[in-house]
Amino acid sequence: MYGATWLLVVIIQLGFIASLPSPFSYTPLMFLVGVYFIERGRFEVGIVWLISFGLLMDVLRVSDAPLDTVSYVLAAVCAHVLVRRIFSQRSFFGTFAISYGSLIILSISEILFTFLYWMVAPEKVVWINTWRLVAWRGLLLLVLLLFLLLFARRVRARFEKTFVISRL
Amino acid sequence: MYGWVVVGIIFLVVILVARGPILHVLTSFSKPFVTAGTWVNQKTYGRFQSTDDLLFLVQNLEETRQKLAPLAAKSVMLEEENQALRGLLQFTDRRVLKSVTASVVARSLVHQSSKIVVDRGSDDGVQVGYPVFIASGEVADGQGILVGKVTAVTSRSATVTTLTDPELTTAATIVNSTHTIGVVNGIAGTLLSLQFVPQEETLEVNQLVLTSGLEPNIPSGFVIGLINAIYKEEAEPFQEAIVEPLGDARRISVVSILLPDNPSE
Repeated sequence: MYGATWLLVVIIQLGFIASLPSPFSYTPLMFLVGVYFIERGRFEVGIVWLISFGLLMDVLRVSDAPLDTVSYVLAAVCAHVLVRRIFSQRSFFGTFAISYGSLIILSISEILFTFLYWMVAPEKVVWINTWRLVAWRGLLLLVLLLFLLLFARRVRARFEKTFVISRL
Repeated sequence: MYGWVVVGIIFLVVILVARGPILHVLTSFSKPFVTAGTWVNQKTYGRFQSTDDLLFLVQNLEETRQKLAPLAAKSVMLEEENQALRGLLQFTDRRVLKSVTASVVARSLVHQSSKIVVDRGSDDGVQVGYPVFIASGEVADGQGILVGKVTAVTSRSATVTTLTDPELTTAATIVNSTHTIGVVNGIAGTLLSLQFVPQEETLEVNQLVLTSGLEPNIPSGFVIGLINAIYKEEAEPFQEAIVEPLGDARRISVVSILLPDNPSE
């Protein structure tokens, strides 16, 4: 069931969201769902969710491989560490801090890879694109988190009912 | 800890082995989502641009329209004359090139790259390096707007790097008296840079930029875009022009991939 949901969210992210006009195409839905699973204690699901998305991006070659797999691995590990060591109590502020902590790690990793790429081929790196992505993605994550706060319980209940699974 | 490593390795193997089926599912189900997103993009075009940008765009379009109106009339007359002369000379028709239509199934998440994934692959005859364009009707030389090139291919899908990606370089020619040639490559945002144009060549804003046919598998005459601005430094050996591409990959959900008769490596 998680596989089917993963595929659905991938399709929404790479098909629908990526086709939206900028800056809405930067919406990190896939990332937030993965972090949310980790925050809810479904570590395996969340980590596999994030890493597999990075891997898929590299398999599809829609990113600068192996940038995404490595970046998403680091983000997943960061979310896991934050949940286990610092924000172990479930609260909105915990989710907020874990999401932004992981997003910062993801962004730093992407910037580092971009920097390495820039060292090799400076003419092929447009830094403004990277800064725009980082800024807008951060802002849109906030919007998604507010939606999550308002509708998470309802969505979770519908998900559990539809797929007849235990509590998330 | 070891459990995580094992899970990771197993998952890595699964995703690499199941790559084909995953892509197949993705290409089968994502079309309506891409179409919906593209529809939203088309309907909201310009709404997130500043007033200054839109005013500049309108002004530019007005100027272009005024210049193109007499040319369009002249083109119709020349086309009729051309048809009549061809009839008199019993000239053979222009060759019709083979192509396949493909639907966009995924797009890059706007980073350094600008790429799309389409639902046609090597099973349909698509290979790396083939041009991707927007076409209406039959595809002959000079009919179609170039969108990008195929840069990776699987049996059922292909990754297309669009013209605006800084990694992509295309041989181009300008529609002027000397048919100036140059090289087009992507720069920041949605614009292109036309480079390696000698200083002595005369460039003008709104001149049409086409493919030159000087690179393998890409015929001449496909439209790339219009010249938007010219940068000329006397000390430099070459001048540079900013080109606005006519095919915006963000606002299309269906493309055509050209299948050359005699593909070259």
